[in-house]
Amino acid sequence: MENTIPNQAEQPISQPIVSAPVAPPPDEQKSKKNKVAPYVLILFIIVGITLGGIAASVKSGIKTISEPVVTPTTTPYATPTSIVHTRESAMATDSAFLQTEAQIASLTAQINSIQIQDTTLTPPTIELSLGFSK
Amino acid sequence: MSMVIILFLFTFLCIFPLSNVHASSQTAYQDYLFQYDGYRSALNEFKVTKSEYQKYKTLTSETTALEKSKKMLETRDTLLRAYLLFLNEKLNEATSLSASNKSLYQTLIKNEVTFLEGHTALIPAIGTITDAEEVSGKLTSHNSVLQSSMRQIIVAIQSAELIKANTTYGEILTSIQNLILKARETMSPEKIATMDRWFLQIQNKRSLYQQKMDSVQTKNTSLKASRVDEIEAAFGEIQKEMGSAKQYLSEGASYLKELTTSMKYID
Repeated sequence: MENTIPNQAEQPISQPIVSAPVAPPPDEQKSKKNKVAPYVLILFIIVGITLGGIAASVKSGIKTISEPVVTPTTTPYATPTSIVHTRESAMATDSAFLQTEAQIASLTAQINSIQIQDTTLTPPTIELSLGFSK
Repeated sequence: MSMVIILFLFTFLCIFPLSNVHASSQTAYQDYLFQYDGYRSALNEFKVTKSEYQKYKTLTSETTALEKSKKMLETRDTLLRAYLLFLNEKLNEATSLSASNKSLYQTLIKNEVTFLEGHTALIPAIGTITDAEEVSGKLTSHNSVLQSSMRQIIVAIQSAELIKANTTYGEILTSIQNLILKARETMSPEKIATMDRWFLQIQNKRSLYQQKMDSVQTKNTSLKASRVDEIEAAFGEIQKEMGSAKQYLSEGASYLKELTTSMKYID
């Protein structure tokens, strides 16, 4: 019984061998260095878009400022006061009212057609004296 | 077939006088223009022969000058008659003129036409240059009466158009008055007050028109003078007053339009 165990006791208790970190091969090391994290890439894209947008808006702003200012032309109106009417009264559709409106339009046309100095009515120019006695 | 032709002729004869009513003054005007051309031509020929007669004093030139004088005197009377007939047609078309006024001016035309017919009747008897001068002188001495009559008739014709417009104006005023009465139920007191004020201003324009027309009427009936230039000056004044009367009507019509536009909307 004593013979079986001593072999076991003689054997030194060996610590588990922890292998030293092995340096990766040179190719693998290089590819790891070049690899950019995806969030950085997204960040770059967002920043790019934002800057582009700002640049475009600034450019268009400059363009609008540089355009010549068009002054609004004023149309002369017959009446000096401009009346803003909101809505029609009940009278607007009244037949008597509409008839009166038509009568006024007819009267205006009638007055405009009157010629006080109608050339067709001008009397003829005649020579009265025969002029023999001159 | 013959029945169809008779029917056609009957229809034509019925319609023709109706369509001719409005064209009568136009036809008279065309005739007047035609007579005017005839007078101008006769006057030119007379002037040439008169010049030859005054230059050569020959019997031939005297005979030709006398012939052309008679022709010119005849065409002159014809022209004046044609013009008076044209005025008569214009008077007939002036429906707004009162019957008494129309009758008054038509009598003036009749008198002048009678004078001219009498004058024309003297022309064939002209045998010498002195006779021609004498006959021509009869029209010269009557000319101021003729010219004043002509201008009085012109004023009457032109007044007729203004009177017609004024009648329409009066009808519109009545309608507007009724509409304002109706509007009192629905519109605000402020707006009603404005409309009443505007209505008064429209009525005032008509009063001003009437004043001018009364003055025109007075001046026209007394349009008589011994000199033609004085008649023309007075006629010019009357025309100015008629222009003012027209202006008042025009302004009133413009106010009427403004008033109806205001009534149309609720402010």
